Amino acid sequence: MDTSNKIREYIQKEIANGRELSNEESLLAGGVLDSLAVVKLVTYVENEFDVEVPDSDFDPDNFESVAAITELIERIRA
Amino acid sequence: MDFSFTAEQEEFRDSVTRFAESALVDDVRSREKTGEFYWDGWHRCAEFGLQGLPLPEQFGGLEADITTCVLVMEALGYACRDSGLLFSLNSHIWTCEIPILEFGSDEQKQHYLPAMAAGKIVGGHAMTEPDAGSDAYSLRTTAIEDGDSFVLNGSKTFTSNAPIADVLLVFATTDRERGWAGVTGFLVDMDTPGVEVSKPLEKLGLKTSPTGEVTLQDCKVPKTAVLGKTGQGSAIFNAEMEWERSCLFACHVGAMRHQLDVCVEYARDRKQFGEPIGSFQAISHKLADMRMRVELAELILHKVAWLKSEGKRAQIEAAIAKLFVSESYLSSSLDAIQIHGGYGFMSEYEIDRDLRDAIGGRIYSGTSEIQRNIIARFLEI
Repeated sequence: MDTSNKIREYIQKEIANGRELSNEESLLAGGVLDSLAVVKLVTYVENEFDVEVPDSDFDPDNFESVAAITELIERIRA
Repeated sequence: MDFSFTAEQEEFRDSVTRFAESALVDDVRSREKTGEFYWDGWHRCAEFGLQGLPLPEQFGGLEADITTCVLVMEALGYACRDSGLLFSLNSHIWTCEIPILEFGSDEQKQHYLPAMAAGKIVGGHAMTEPDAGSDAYSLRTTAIEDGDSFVLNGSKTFTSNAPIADVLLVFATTDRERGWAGVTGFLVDMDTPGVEVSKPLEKLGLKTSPTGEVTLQDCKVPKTAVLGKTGQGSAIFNAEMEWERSCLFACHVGAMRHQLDVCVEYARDRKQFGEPIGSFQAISHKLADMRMRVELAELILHKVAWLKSEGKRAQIEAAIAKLFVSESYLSSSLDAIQIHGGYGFMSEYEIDRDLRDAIGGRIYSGTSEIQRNIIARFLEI
């Protein structure tokens, strides 16, 4: 399963109460992610993809959508 | 599992204990009556290096790792009876120095950190508002962009160190529509036009740690005052809370250990019905519970320190630590008064200070109820 699918499925299941999401949908404006959910999501991302998200990347723009989160992970890995 | 500390850590902890027992001993009861801050103690702590404890040497710090920081705070909690001084010291370090270290620009670090490490300037943070406590991100303080500046308007309350601060990390909304994602942190010098601080608020406990209200009226700060990036306020706040919920509460663990020592001594010496009261189960069981709480509080705090030293997230563990330590401190403080009976109720014997301080511990750094919310969120219910 590719990165964006894994992230989308995790958010749908563990944060969005099963609600289906698209990769481009705004997670912030849509109220899917609150400040605690972001921390929970980052913990998942770090464990699942074996990356470390620096505090400087805790920028809401990096968590705007599944696509943005995927891009963040790929940037960290690169 | 090896629960031991290094020889250096133990040596440093012991040196802090000796320092506090010899240099932080001026009568605290007289200062409590007037809410006077222990400036002599503050300066002695600075000479010892405590204000710069976790900071890199390049900023005048001691570069202590987090486990050492926790041990130092435990030692201070054990040996220093001025809990207000310790609370102000912790606020200075964890709510202002560390955010600058982790999120600040090179210029911000160079401008503030050496002076903060030397204790020459006092820092704190301003998040809570009259209508935004547990619902922290519903804050109403605004920061409107104006050319090369931001103009801040709003009011903050229960701001630790405000009456003595030189700089505050002020959280304001730069984009209300984004909610928590639209909050930004600003480093505001207290002599900036438009900043007003109230006289110290009278509190139930931590009486010698000045707390005040801050009003910002058309307070213009340069864009260089933004800490991190615009909209990064929640990241800063969350990161800061992990430090605060472990290191600040380490002082409580030290205080609990001191409480236990005092109670054991009293239980040995005080005789009723011809026996030391410690021989009665009603008392010995309380002492056993106090001992258990100290042990478990230390374990969870040290686990948080270990996780952070390994570069791991510790959001849920910090919440558990904060909840358990603060509730334990309150329980042990009640037990300490009960063990001392009438003497515990008399302020002269200073058993009551811990109880008054402990009540606050269930509220600041996120209430016990909020900690339970955080823990539950991570349970994937």
